[in-house]
This record gives sequence, structure tokens and C-alpha cells, in this order.
Amino acid sequence: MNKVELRPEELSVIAAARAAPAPTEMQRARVRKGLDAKIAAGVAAPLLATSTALATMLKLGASVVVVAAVGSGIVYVAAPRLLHKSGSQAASALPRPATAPAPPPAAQPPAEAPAAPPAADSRATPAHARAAVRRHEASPAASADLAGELGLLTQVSAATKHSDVARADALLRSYDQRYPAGQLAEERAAAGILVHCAAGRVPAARAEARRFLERWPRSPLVARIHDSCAREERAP
Amino acid sequence: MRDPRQLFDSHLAFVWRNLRRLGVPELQVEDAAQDVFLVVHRRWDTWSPALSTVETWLFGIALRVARNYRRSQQRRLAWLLPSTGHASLHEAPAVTDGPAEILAQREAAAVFERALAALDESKRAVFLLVDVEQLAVPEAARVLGINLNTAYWRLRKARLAFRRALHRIRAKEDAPDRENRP
Repeated sequence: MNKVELRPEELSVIAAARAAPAPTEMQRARVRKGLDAKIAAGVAAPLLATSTALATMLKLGASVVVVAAVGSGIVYVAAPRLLHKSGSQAASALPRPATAPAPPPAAQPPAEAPAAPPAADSRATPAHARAAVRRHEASPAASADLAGELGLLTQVSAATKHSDVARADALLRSYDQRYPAGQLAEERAAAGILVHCAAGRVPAARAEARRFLERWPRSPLVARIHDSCAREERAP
Repeated sequence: MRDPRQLFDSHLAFVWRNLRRLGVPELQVEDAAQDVFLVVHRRWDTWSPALSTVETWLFGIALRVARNYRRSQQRRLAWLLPSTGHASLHEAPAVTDGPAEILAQREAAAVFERALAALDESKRAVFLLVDVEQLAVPEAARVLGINLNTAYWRLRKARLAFRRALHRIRAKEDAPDRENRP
């Protein structure tokens, strides 16, 4: 079998790539903070890919799980959950494990860890609710509020889907009144943009989209917004 | 290496780079990196420098975490992402005011990522370990749990696939120029 050596131009591409993708200080700090929080909370094993917020929500005893979105709107699927009782207290009372009592072998992929509950919808993507969940981690009322917020946003999505713009607007106003500092502010903002689009209010949608992108540039919902009327064509 | 915290400080960039190269979407690298270091935290007592370098140990963990992310990302994000899959749209806005060298490097890195995407996971892993992270082939074989001949065979195939992919990318880049010529 002939040995294949890399050519100089191939080596130069690899060399350039070697140094390129590195975390910024901000990303580094976020990973550190998230890791410390998981370790402190006694997360026994890395959960599935988007499980950061899910794990937190389960520890909170959160009564709902986000999420699915289809068609022109965002749909939030609320699912009753009773997985952990008095989660926040329980989580804080956990001893900080220097080492987990029964770690799986290193070769075992985290997906095989038993921590991911079967009830979790495979479509669940609560990562974008992460910050909100963190903000309310210590609040016992957070779960109830989250359920209420999800319920309203679910209705907004349904109304948008059926082009019932007046109802969607009313629901959003109701959301804003009831949850001025809502845990799902990111989702509410995205829903607002989509409602503007459904109503043909393109300039308003674009103005809100710009604010959204400034505030949550890494949101998974950015792609959804780009796929809406809020997408602004670049100048030639 | 005294503790996992020190390892985090010294090797987050290593883990980050390789998670990206192993196909974890930009959007999820932070979560994936957390998962890798959570495994590190739990498994710290089992790692011994006599068994493997810290890089090969981390790569092995990152490989498995990345696999899970790749497998789950489609079904998890399918509801969010437009069907056209605007991969670049959900990434942070690029910094465009940097020096020309940074932009050139970024372009080269983008070419590298595209070429890398042409390699299946088994070839990609050995290619990353040997040609990017510059580990010896026997060490790469140990990390991946394959025998030495298999490692060499995969490396050969990976290099050829990488070469072909680069060629295709370059050809596509040149094509518009030709079309625009009078």
C-alpha cells in the first residue's frame, strides 16, 4: 500500500485551520460557568446534546418542556412533568460530588447515560430557554410562570398559523402584561416578529428582528427569523 | 496536570477546535465542550499519563460527545431551522474589520472545514489526530481503538479524500472567475 503524503498546499490549509477556531474569552467564560453549575448541581452525566436547560428544568421540577415549531409559527408543546419533587431545594441540597459515585467508562458515550428521561420529546430544544431558566433557577414560582408563558406563546403560535393576527397580537399584549420579565423573552420576541410578518408589517418585523439579533445573536431562532419576512436583502 | 480545572484552562481550545472539526455545529459547541469537561471531571481519577496523553484522552471523549451531537442535531433542530439549511445564518456575525491575515486565515479555515466534511467519521478522526493534531499513528490507533494497519489504511484514504475535496472546492472557487471573464 503506497503511503500518501500531504502536499504543501494541503499542509498550508491544515496549518491555517489549526489556529483558527478557538473560543473567545466570552465563550470560555460561559462554558466555565455552565460547567461549574452542572458540577455544583451534581449532574451525574452529560446529557444529550441540548440537555443543559432540560437538566436544569428537571431539577427545578419544571412543569413544562418546550418545544416544537412548525410552519409559519413557533409551537410550544407543554408537557406535564413530575420527575423531581421540590427540585430547586433538592438540587441545592445535593452534596457536591468530587467524583460521581458510579461513572460509566470513558468509552461510553454520554447519550447512554440514564439521565435523559424517556418522556423528553426528541424534538425538545430548550437550549434557547437556558438563560431564562438560569435566571429563575432559585425561584419556586418559576415553573408555574414558565407553564403560563408557554401556554400563551403556544396560543400565539396557533393564532399566527391560522392567520388570526388580531388574536395573536392580543395574546402577545397579554404576555407582555403578565410577564414583563418573562423567562421566554427570546421566544416571545421571535413570536412577535413572526406575527408582524403574518400581518404584513414588514418594517416592524425587520426592526424587531434587528433588535433580536443584537440581543441574541447565537439563538437557534435566528435561522427561523432569517427565513421569515424579516430577512433583509443585502444591498448590491 | 494537577486537576480538571487546570486541564480546562489549558485544553478548552483543543477540545473546542476538535468538536467543531468533528461536526458539532457552532451553535452547540459550548454545550458540547461542557459535556466533554463534565466527563473529564467525573473520569479524572481514571486517567493516567502512563496510558495516554491528555490530548488523546480528551479527543476520545470529544469524539463520542460529537457523535451524539451530530446524531441528535437534525431531529432536535429540524423544527427551528429552515428546510434550506442556512448553516451560516445562525452563527454569530463575522468580524469583518480584522486584519487581512485574519480574514485569509478564516477563509482557509472555512475551506478546511468544507474539505473535512467530505470525510466520514472514521477517516476524519484519524486524519484529525495525525495530520491536524500531529499525533503519531500508533497513538491515534490507541485512541480510536483500532489496530495499526487499520489506522494507516484510514489515514491514507482520508488524505486522498481530503485532497479530492480540496480540489473540488478550488475548482468551484475558480469557476465563477472563468465565467466572468470576457
